[in-house]
Amino acid sequence: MKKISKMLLAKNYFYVFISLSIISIAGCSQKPEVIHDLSQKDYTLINQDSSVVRFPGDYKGKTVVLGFIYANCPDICPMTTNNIKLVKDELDKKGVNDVTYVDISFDPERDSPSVLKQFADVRGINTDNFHFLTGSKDVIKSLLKDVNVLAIPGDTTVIGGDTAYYFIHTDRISVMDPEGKIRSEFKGSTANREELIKDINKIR
Amino acid sequence: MYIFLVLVSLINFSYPGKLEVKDAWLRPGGKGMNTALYFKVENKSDKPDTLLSVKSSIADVVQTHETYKKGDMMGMRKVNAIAIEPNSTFELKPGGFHVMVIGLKEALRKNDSAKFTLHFKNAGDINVKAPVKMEGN
Repeated sequence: MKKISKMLLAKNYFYVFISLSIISIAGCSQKPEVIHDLSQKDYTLINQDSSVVRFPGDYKGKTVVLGFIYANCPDICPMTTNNIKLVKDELDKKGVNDVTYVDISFDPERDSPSVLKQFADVRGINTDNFHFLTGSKDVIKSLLKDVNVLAIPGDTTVIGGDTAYYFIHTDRISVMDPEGKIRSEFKGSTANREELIKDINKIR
Repeated sequence: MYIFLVLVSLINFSYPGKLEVKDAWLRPGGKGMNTALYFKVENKSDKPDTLLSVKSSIADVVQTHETYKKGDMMGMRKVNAIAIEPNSTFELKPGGFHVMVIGLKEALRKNDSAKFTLHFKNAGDINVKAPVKMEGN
């Protein structure tokens, strides 16, 4: 009798273990919740080659790793861009071809397409699948509001009579799914690239 | 002689045994744009020192800056000097203190290098040659 009870108990433990494993595996592979839904939005932007880009429509079907930068930033924004580049290098090595990489400037007054092209060029970034976008001040303002990215002109330096300004800004890398919904956000300059790749794989 | 020259090139400056600047590097930057210089200052003496200014012919303006956090946001501001405590190493590093190189006269790409003169209150001028690179590359 005792032997049968022990067997039933062991069987129950086994079922509980299997159930928890299934829940755990399902949880790991589940897409993160939507943070910002841009799927119905249509921002007209311009890329580093001066071509018009409809965002996010032109990226439909691709997962997008999205950074927010300004080209005059010497420290934080290059760290963000470099993190995206290193993630791209890693995924390219693995043959992942359904992910696109994008930096959006929150300094459209200074970040013209040629400035952004140079920003990419000096870093050895191939812009075939890593795009640098800018736009009109109003469109950028609207986009930043929709993704809750703040960029406020702050400290200044006077150079030859001209005043150069720097931003205090949100430090962000986002992951947008193929439908245009942002589902994951990281601190851009210090993003854990392994965690970022894990989220990209859940979302793509 | 060759070994001596190699050692000198690796150390790249010095205030005889007291203050050393190590591992200097800077980021790429476009012509007319800004970049940042990073390095470590090792103070082997029992007296404090202060980094007062940095000069270079590669840019219009060179200043010491620090990156700071305000809530979820990041900003950057000029600092007038950087204190180097006795018997310590101070690191200017990404996301922290850095030398802001403003208005590059020419673009700087990976594998280029640039010369800087660091002016310390006690150690005087220390010359540094920094290679251009990116983290993880």
